[in-house]
Formats: sequence, C-alpha cells, structure tokens
Amino acid sequence: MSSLTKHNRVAYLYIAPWLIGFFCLTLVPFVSTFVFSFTDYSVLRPPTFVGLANYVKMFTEDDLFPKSLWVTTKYVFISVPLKLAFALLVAIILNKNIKGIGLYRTIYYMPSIFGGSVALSILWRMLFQGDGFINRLLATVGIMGPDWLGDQRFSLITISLLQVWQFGSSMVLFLAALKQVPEYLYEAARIDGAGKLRIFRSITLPLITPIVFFNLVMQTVNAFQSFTTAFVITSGGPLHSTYLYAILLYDNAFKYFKMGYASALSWVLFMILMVVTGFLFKSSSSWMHYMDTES
Amino acid sequence: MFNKSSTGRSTFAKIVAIAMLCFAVGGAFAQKQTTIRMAWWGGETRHKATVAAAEAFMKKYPNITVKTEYQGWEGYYDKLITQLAAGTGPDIFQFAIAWFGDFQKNPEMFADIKKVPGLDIGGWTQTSFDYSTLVGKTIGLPLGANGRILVYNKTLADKLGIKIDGYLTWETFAKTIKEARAKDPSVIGYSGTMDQYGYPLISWLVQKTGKPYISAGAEFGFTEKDFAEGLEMFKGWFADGTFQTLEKTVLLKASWSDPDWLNGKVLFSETPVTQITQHLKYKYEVGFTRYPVIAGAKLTGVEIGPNLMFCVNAKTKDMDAVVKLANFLNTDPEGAKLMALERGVPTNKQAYDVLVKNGMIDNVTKIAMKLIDDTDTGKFSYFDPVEVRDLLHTALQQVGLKGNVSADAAAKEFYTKASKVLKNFK
Repeated sequence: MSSLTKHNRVAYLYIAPWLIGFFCLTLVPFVSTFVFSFTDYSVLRPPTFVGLANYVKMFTEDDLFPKSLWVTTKYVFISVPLKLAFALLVAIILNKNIKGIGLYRTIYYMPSIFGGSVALSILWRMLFQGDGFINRLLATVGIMGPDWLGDQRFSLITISLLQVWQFGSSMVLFLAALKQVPEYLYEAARIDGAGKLRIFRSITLPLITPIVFFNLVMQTVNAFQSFTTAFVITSGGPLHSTYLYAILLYDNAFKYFKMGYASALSWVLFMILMVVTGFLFKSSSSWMHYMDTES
Repeated sequence: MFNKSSTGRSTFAKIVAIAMLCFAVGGAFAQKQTTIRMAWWGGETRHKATVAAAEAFMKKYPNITVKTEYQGWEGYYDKLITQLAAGTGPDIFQFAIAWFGDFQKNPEMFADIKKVPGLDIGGWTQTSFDYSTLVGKTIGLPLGANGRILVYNKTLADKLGIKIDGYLTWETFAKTIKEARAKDPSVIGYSGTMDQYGYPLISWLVQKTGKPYISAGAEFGFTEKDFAEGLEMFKGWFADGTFQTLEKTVLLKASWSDPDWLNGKVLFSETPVTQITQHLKYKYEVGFTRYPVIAGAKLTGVEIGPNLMFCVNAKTKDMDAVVKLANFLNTDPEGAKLMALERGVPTNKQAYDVLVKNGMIDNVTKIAMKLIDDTDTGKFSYFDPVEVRDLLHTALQQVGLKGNVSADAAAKEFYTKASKVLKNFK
C-alpha cells in the first residue's frame, strides 16, 4: 500500500509540470472567463456584476455577433472539407511505393510545421495583394486578377486557402490510416474486377472513416477558433467580410477593453463548439465504420 | 637626483592615487544597477534615433540599463493598455492625446509630471502642458509640435503643369485632382490608409459645424445629416478616381505603403508633421500644403499641437532612473541632438535651442511648421475612441467599396452605433 502511494507520488511529480500548466493556464482562465462573462470589466477598472446583460446584448444589439458567426461558419464550410480532401489526396499519393517517398512526406508536412504563423500570413498577403505574385502570374497569361484580399467577394476564400495549405497533420493521420487497410481486401477486390475508384469508394474510404471523423472534429474545432491568419492578413476586413468570431472576441477584449463581453463571447463559442461536436458524434454512427465491427 | 623627502612625497602621491582609484571603482560598483523599460511606436528613423539616445544615456549612466520596446503604430496601444492594466507597463512610454478618453476615470496609472522630484520641466510652457493634462493632472512631457498637413507629388504636379499655390479649399482640392486626371487619366488624386481617409472627413465635419468632432462631454459636434453629406462627397470621390480605389487600400496597415503612391502615380496624401522626413526618401520630389479648409471655417478640425508625450508609469520601481532618462532625452544637449526631430520640433525650449544652435531644423521642417501654424485655429479637442474610429472606417468602406450602401444608410448606422459607444464615456 505504502509502495503504491510512493509510486503515485513519483507519478504525480512527473506530471506536475502539465498539472501546473493545466490549472494555471487553462482551468483558472476557463473559470475566470465564466465569472467575468457576468460582469462589466474594462480592464482598467474593477469588474461590476451585470447579470446576463452581456449575453442579452450579444443576441439583441451587437450585429457583429451574428455577422462574425456567419463568416466563421462559411470559413469552416470552405476550409475544412477542402483541407481534408486535399490531405487525403496527398496521403493517397504518398502511400505509393515510390523512390524517395520519405523525402516527399517530409516536404509535404513542412507547411504544417510553419502553422498559421504571422510570417506565413504576411507571405500570403504579399502573394495575394493587388500587385502580388498571383496577379503578376495571371497577367503573364493575359488575365487581370482581382484584388483577392481587398475585394469582399474573394477575401474569405483567399484566407481559407491558407488554412487548406496547412494540411500536413491531417495528411499524416490519413497516411497512417491508409497503411492499416489490409492488403488482402484490395487483392480480393481486384480479383473481383473492381476499378480504382470503386476500390477507393468501397474499401479505402469506409475503413478510414474513424480517422476522417477524428480529423473532421479536430479541424472543425480549429477552424471555429481561427484567428492569426485573418487578423494578420485582413484584420477582418474589408467590411467585415473576413471578420471571424475570434477577431470579434479579440477586438472586444484587447481593442475596446470589454473583457466581460469578450468572456461571454468566448463562452458562447464554447457552447457552439460543444453543439457542433455533439452533432458530429451523433451523426458519425450513420457513416463511420470500424473494421472489427464490420467483420 | 631624488632626495628622501621628494621620494616620500612621490610614494604618498601614489598611495593617494591608488586609494582614489579604489574608491572610484568601488563607488561605481556600489552604485545600484537598475533596469528600466521604455516603449514607443514609430517608423524606422524614430526607432534608430531613440535607440541611439538610449545607448548614449546608458554610457552616461552605466548603472542604468534601458530596455527599449518599440514597434509600429499597429497594436502598440492594445499592448500598452493591457500591460498597464496588468501592472507590467513600461516605466516610461510614448502616449497620444487621442487615448485620453480611455483613462479619464483612471489617471492614477500615470505619474503626475509636475510632482515628480528632480524632473526638469522648466523648458515647457503651460500651453504645452495643457495638451498633456488629463482631468486636471499633468500626465506627460509634451514632445514635438505636431499637426497634419497634405503632402503631394511635386514632380508629378510639375510634369502635368499643375500648380498647387496658396492654400486649398475642398473645392480647389477636388478641382486640382480633376485637372490632373484630365491631363493624365492614370493619375490617382489621393491615397491613404483608412485613418488617412478618416482624418480628412473628420476635419471637414469640424470645419462645417465649427464644433469639435467629439466634445469633452462625449457628444458628437455634428448631426447625422452632416455626416451623410460628408460621406456623399467622399463616395463621389471614391467613384470618380479623386480617391484611390478603396479595394486597393482598404487593408493597408502602414501609411504611404500604397504601391501607386510609392511609384509616383498618386498626387496627394496626408501626413503628420512628425513624419515628414519619411517623404524625402522617394524617387520623386514632394511638396507640402495645408489641409483643405472651408472658406471662413471657425475650426480647421486638424489636430495641432504636441499630441505626443512621454508618460511616466506611476508604478515604476525606480523613479530616479526614469527621471534621469526623461531629463536626458528632453533637456540634455546630447539627448536632444540624438532625438532630433523624430517627434516633431521640440516644445521644450532647451531641446529646441540645441537643435537651432546645431542647425538641425531644416527648411522643410520650417515650411511644415509654418503650414501648421497657418492651420491652427485654436485648441481642437481630439477625443477619438478606438471603437468609434472603427465605426467611422466601416462607414467609409460602406460608401467606398464597390456596390455598397448609400451615404444616408451608412451615416445612420454610424451615428446610431457610435452614439451608443459614446454613452460609455459620459
């Protein structure tokens, strides 16, 4: 018994850095924002209790709240499927036995190492601005490209593409899943005369659905919280066409110093993510397959 | 050659010299090492000058380390206010009068400049201090005399045979651009960031009404109808090429970064006087003139005066070191020379005299100063909350971007929302 306690102590000691980080940097702010969401807190003055006023304001007065939510939803619907499709496509290519495959895998993973960094966002802005590389390239074939970022019709799609470009982590997971698909199933399908598309649709895709589901949940949650890309490239403009929810939250917290309201916004985002994730989990039973349950 | 007594004197002198050296070295070590933080925003030349001044200060006071924290305009205020609120603000920092509104209920975050022992404030007049006074408390050391003026591409104007003589009204401003575009349709009349479209609109509103943009009591000096009229004028200018296509400039974060401006295709932009040196580096020659003004306007609506200041954090742990640094930057001949004109012509007489004596106030600066003198129509309260400014930018984008809202609708939206924001400042 005492030996077990001693072991426990050692274990707790090992995980102490994580526990301290979790309590100080996650749990305390998490609870604090819940408390602050019922206050008027301007940072410069002590918070005052206002009950549900912040939540009421969000749903009745602030027209940027539904607007940013709509922009974010569009962003999620554009970027997540594109990213997953692209990641899967690259994973399928990288699953082939070709010479130097290790190098290719590393190269394709690199954009994800850079992540949604500020430097990458600035580079993206330079590529897509009015006289940027993309428009110069188009000009060489006689096409006058639009102002990809300054024109409201294209700005959201343009920043969504940067999200797609960071497909590496999803791709690695897809690659691992593809490797788990038993070769004998492919052989049997080929003997039965199935074509490549049929094999993909009837064997590969069903068997990797657990990873598709995992990637879908993770990328959806990430996309709902996206901030850096849009903030650095467009600051949410022009005319709020790229005003993602996280920018609304940031503006209220650190630009207008309405910490109470920003806390309420963060809790509503949390609830939205819970509902979306719950929906994905519920829907997964109708399309996700596990090999052991199928066999 | 040496007698006994002279040898003794020599030995005594050596001992005294060594002892003095020991005391000096010991004294230096005995001095407390301290580090203070100094923050500002600005462009490259301001950064270089201020860092050089901080380094010179550290040579003069080796026991004080100045940690410089500098960046561009974008994000400076957000960072500063968050640090101040968290109690981790810099010891001395550059501040703008436009932010006073946020601190009306919290002036205790700033040290009262007039009550800080040892701070040399003799070189400033009370008129200068009026600009850095917040709810009766002097919170900053006023820096250079500043004001906004128009900058134009003189090479382009000369090439087109356009003369920009005398001071412009809004009509002659538009007419000059129309004339230039008639001669060369590829010429763009005016370009800038969203702020650089906002300032002229605010200026026009103040000129039209003769009242401050936002009063000290947080009330608009103009009506929704006035605002709609101004927006309608700007909407026309966005549409007819008087202003640069807004799609091209709406996302610009830095002033004068529009490629068309840098490539000499734009006739006008606007600038604070403190930044005029930036414009002397172009491939083309520039000229300066006054902001357009409605004939007979009581107020020009142009922010004139020392709108920048150095403030001292009331929570600084080493006020003595901060005082030494502030004195060095503002009144010490070496510091004043290094800081030069990077924050405008100094309002501090000692610093101003140093620059005059060293011939550092050039002709361009003198011309710019004359322009802001001629623009000055009395102290203009420039209360400009960030949220209202964002709403102003939204209204401008609504009328400036293609296929959008009418000026009346944009004005209504702005007026309703911004009035609600202002209620928080009453």
